[in-house]
Formats: sequence, structure tokens, C-alpha cells
Amino acid sequence: MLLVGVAIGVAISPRYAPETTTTVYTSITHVVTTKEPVRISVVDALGREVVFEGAPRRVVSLAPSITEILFALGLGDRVVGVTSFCNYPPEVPKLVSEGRISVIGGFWNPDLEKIVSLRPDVVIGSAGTRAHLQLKDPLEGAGIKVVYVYGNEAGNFYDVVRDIRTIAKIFGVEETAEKLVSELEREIENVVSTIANTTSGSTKPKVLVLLGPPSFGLYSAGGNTFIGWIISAVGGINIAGKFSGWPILDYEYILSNNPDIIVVSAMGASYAELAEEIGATPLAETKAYREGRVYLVDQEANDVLMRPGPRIASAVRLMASILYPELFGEPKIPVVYKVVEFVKPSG
Amino acid sequence: MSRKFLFSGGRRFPLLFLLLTVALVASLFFSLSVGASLIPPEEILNCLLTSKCGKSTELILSIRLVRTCVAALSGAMLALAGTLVQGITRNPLADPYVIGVLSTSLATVSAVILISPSILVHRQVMIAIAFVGALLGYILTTTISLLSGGTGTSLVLSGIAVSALFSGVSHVLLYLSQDRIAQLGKHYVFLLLGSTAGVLRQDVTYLAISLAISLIIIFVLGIPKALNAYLFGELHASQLGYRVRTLTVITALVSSILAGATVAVVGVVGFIGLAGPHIARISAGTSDHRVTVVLSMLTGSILTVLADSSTRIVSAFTSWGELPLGVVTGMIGAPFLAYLVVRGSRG
Repeated sequence: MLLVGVAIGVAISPRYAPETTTTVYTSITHVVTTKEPVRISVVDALGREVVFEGAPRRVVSLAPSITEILFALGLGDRVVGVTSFCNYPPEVPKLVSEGRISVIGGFWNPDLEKIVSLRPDVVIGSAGTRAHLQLKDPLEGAGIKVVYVYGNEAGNFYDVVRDIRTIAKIFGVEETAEKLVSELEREIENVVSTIANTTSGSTKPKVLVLLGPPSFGLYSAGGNTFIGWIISAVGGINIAGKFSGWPILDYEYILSNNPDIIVVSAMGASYAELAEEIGATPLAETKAYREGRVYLVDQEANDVLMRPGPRIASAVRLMASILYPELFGEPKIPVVYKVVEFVKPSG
Repeated sequence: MSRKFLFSGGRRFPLLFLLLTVALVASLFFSLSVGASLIPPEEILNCLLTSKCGKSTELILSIRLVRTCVAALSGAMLALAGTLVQGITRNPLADPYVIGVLSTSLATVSAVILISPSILVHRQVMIAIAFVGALLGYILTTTISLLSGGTGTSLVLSGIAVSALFSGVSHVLLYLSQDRIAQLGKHYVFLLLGSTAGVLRQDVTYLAISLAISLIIIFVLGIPKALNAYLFGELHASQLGYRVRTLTVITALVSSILAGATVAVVGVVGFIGLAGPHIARISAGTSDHRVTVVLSMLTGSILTVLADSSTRIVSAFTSWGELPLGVVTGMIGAPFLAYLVVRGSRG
């Protein structure tokens, strides 16, 4: 009788939503029927061990990339809180507007009281973000478990994979995670091998990334950042690669490295005006500008390139199409705006 | 403290002026030759005088020249503003930002960013807005100061009130607009630190015009002499025929033009406005403003040019990228100031 009750409880619990694979179903059913308590122990990105008695049912995500991982793992129905920046997959803003997911503040300023009022079983945050780390003690004091993943600090594919696996382990969906990871691996491998086969021997393109309009400071992405990894993955040379984090460059450094391609995160600025501004700076002297290979990325394209999450394969493909449009066609993700300058023949 | 002691250093002036000018020229050359690529001094001379040098060297040098000029000009302007403000407030701890220009400038800029993020791409407009904001701060501070008697002390106190109010306002506004201006790892406060990394050729013109206007006002109206009289107190100055209120208002206006222009073009650069005047005073051995006004421009210039070169050296040899100029100036200048203070107290 008791067993039947457990079985019914299990059957209606969200973990057994139809989208999870049958293999997962059987393995967990096995655990339940042997009546052993489901103890899940996870070591997070800070090296802390977090132990769960049973898979959590209500989760709050503190970063867009974490939200994307949760939905990619089919755990969307357990998400009760996201940040105001979480806009992917498209059902997130839809669920938010329907009131089924609450917004717990921004990425930089999550609201502790809002999180607690959602009664989550677990809150997943980004290990490198001070505002997220500050939430640890008050949340744990309220009896809410907190797990940190690399999140926005993830600097390459392997960090993203680790995040996916960590999150999957909390919810006991490791097999979905492995499927997702091998799919991502295959997609990236496809792009990389296409590039390797066709461009072997030719010189690697030099790439400059600017985070925002030049007038706001020439912030670039160093070698240990996510976007830096994407550039090197598709065989480009990130000219800020010798720096770490988000360095400020100057025009002199940029010109002496003479990038072949410039990717500028537009951050909502008007594209035509931004293009005009770039033309009025020494960036106009670069090979990239003269050959019309300055790309302004915004909205979805910008999110894909900046968020270390399950869209990493799209990010690799996007960067590949920016670097080798002859192989992959011009970028298809909105919005990539190409600045084309018609050079006057010089004397 | 007799008049003789205060103003006895005039004899040292010609020699010191010559020495500091030579030091400034040397530091300018140093600044032009160091960076991502090293250019030997003779090649710089070749390039500047005969323009017979490699195309790439010429390009790099032209960019570096712009930076160096901006650093030299803003250093001179900040130190000059510091000398004036310290004179008019008779307070050795006053710096140009004490009049409130910095906070109102930032508040205006951040308000505009919040209203229209596209404005970021118009560097000229941004500079104009920041400058207008600085002058608004000046008007506000002097109005409050005049209502409370128009003395130097009331100027400092109203400056503190205006600064406190508007730095609060600007931080709130920047906090609200941070998702627009800062991505990922960059917290918004980093954007407030001064840097010459992104300056353009026309910025030199803006600074030069502001400095020229200020110098004309200073010397036509004989402000240095008036400040000398003011050193002995308001009563003394008015007995000598100077109108204290007018002097305060005009000196504060000139300082606001100087400081406002540097804030608008470069951002916040600490230490120079505070310590530049002291270094000039101690090395000249006099507080005669006719001497210190000139010498402080040289000391401020030298310190800022050296600090700017050091940010480029750091960027060339480490993985940190460009350090913000505003924080390096203190590290470069403070040991020198300490040395002068110790030596001055012994001699």
C-alpha cells in the first residue's frame, strides 16, 4: 500500500514529466522502490559540497546562462524565479508575463526577500558575482540551499559543460545532460573541422572584440573569457588574447595589431550612428574597417556571444560565419549589422 | 609667518622654470617612445620634424601624440585649478573637484545615458553634456556660497553639499543604467575612472581652448596677485582694494572650466589637482601665486604624462590591460610628494 502511494506520488511529481527520457525514469524508480533516501551530493564551483535530500522542485536562477541551462535540461517547469535579463528560451518571458515565473531582480542586484518569498529549494548563482556570493549566508539561514556554478565566469566550453553537469546532478538528470553535451560537442566539432579542412595553411584572421561603443572606453575580452575562447575555437586570433578578464585597450595597441575583423557589441546604440562613430576614430585605419569587416552585434547575437550557456554551439557557428562568411554564409542570428565602408582609391 | 618668508622664493623661479620645462620635454619624449611598441627618441624627432619615417610608426606616433598631449594638458589644467581652489579657499586639502563640478557632470551624463543610450556613440555630444553639467555644478555651488556670504569657507562647504547630493544622484542613475553601459564583469564604478586610452584628436583642441580661455582670464584680471592678498585673510584683501566676492566667483569659474573640461574629456583623475600645487609650492619655496600658477602647470603636466606612460608600460608587459589613469597618478606622484615634504621640513 505504502509502495503504491510512493509510486503515485512519484508519477505525478514534475520529475516524471513526459519530456524526461525513459532511462532516467527507470533508474530513479529503482532508487525509490528500494526505499533508500535519495541523497544527492554536489560539489559546486566554489568547492563547497551541497547535499540534497531528494531532487529540488523549486529553483531560482540568478543568471541568464543558468536559466538557459535549466531549460535546456528540461527543468523549465521547476524554475520559479529568474532575473530580469533572462529572455531565452522564448518561453521564459512568456511564463514571466503569465505570472508563472517571478523576476527576482537584475543580474547585479537580486532581491533577497523576493527570492525567499518564492520558497525555492535551491538557488543557483554565478560564482564570480559578488552580489550572488553575498546571498549565500542569508539564504542558507532561511534554509534554502545555494549552489554556485561558473555562470558568467565560465571561460570556455569545458566550464560550460561542468556547469551543465553540476546542475544536472542536482536534479538527477545526468543522462539528459550527457545527451546535450555530446550534441554540443558534435555541433562544435562540425564547425571546427569544416574550418580546419578548408583553411589549413592560410593565416589565421586577427579579431578585435569591443564591448560597447569606443567612446565608452575600449573594453575588450581577454584570452580567458568566454568570447575569447570562441574566437580561438574557430581558429581566429583574439588580439586581446594576451590579457585576462576585460582589459581596456588603446588605439595604438589596436592599430599595431591591425585586426582583420572587428566585432562590436552595440549595447542598444543606433547602428548607423555607431558605425559613423567608428569611422571617425582611428579604428577606421584598421584593415577590418577598410575591408568592410566591422560587425555590430546586438540583441540575440550579442546574448549568444556573451552568455556561457547551452547556446555555445550557436555562438561558435556565429563567430565562424563572421570570420569565414565564404564557408558558413553571412551570420543569420539577429542582429548582426555589417559596417561596409567604400574606400576611396588612395594615391 | 612674515610676508618675506611667504614670497621669498621668487629668485628660484627662473631656474626652476627652466628645469621643469626640460623635465616636461623629457617626459613627453619618454611618453612618445614607450607603449605596445618602442620607438627610439631619434626616430620620434625624425617623424615629428621631417616626417620621414615608416607609415606604421607615423600612425602609432600620431595616436600616441594625441594621448600624450591630452595627458599633458589635463595634468596642467588640473594642477592649475588646484592652485586656484586652494588659494581661494585657503585650504591645503582642497582639490578642483571640491567645487562640485565632478558630481554634477557625472549626474548629467548618467541621466542622459538613461534617457537615450544612443548618445554614447556621440563623443562630442557627451563631452559637451559633461562640460555643461560641470558648469551647472559651479553655478549651484556659487549660488549657495553667495547666499551664505560668498567667502572661501562658504564656497568649500557649499561645494561639499553639492558634491554629496549629486554624487548620490549620479550613482543611483548609473546603477539604474548599468545594464546598458556595463556588460558581464564590468561593474559600473569602473567607468568613472579617468583614462586617456580612447581620446581623439579633437579632444586636444577642446582642452587647449579651455586652458587658453582660463589663462587669459587669470592673467588679464590679475588673479594671482589678488590671491596673494587673499592669503592674509578677507579683511586684508578688501583693505587692499580687492572685492572678495567677485574674486571668489571668478576664481571658482576658472577652476570649473579647467576641471570640467578634463572631467568631460578624460574622466576623474585624482591626486594631480591636490598635490600638483603642493609640489610646485614646496619646490619653489614660496606661496606666491604668480610663481605657483606657472610651476604647478608644469608639475601637474609632468606627473600626468609619466602616469599615462606607466599605464601603457603596464599594459605592454602584463595581462591586465590599461590601468585607469585616475588611480595611477597617485601611486606615481605620492612618493615624490612625500620626499619633498620630508626635505622641506628639514631645510
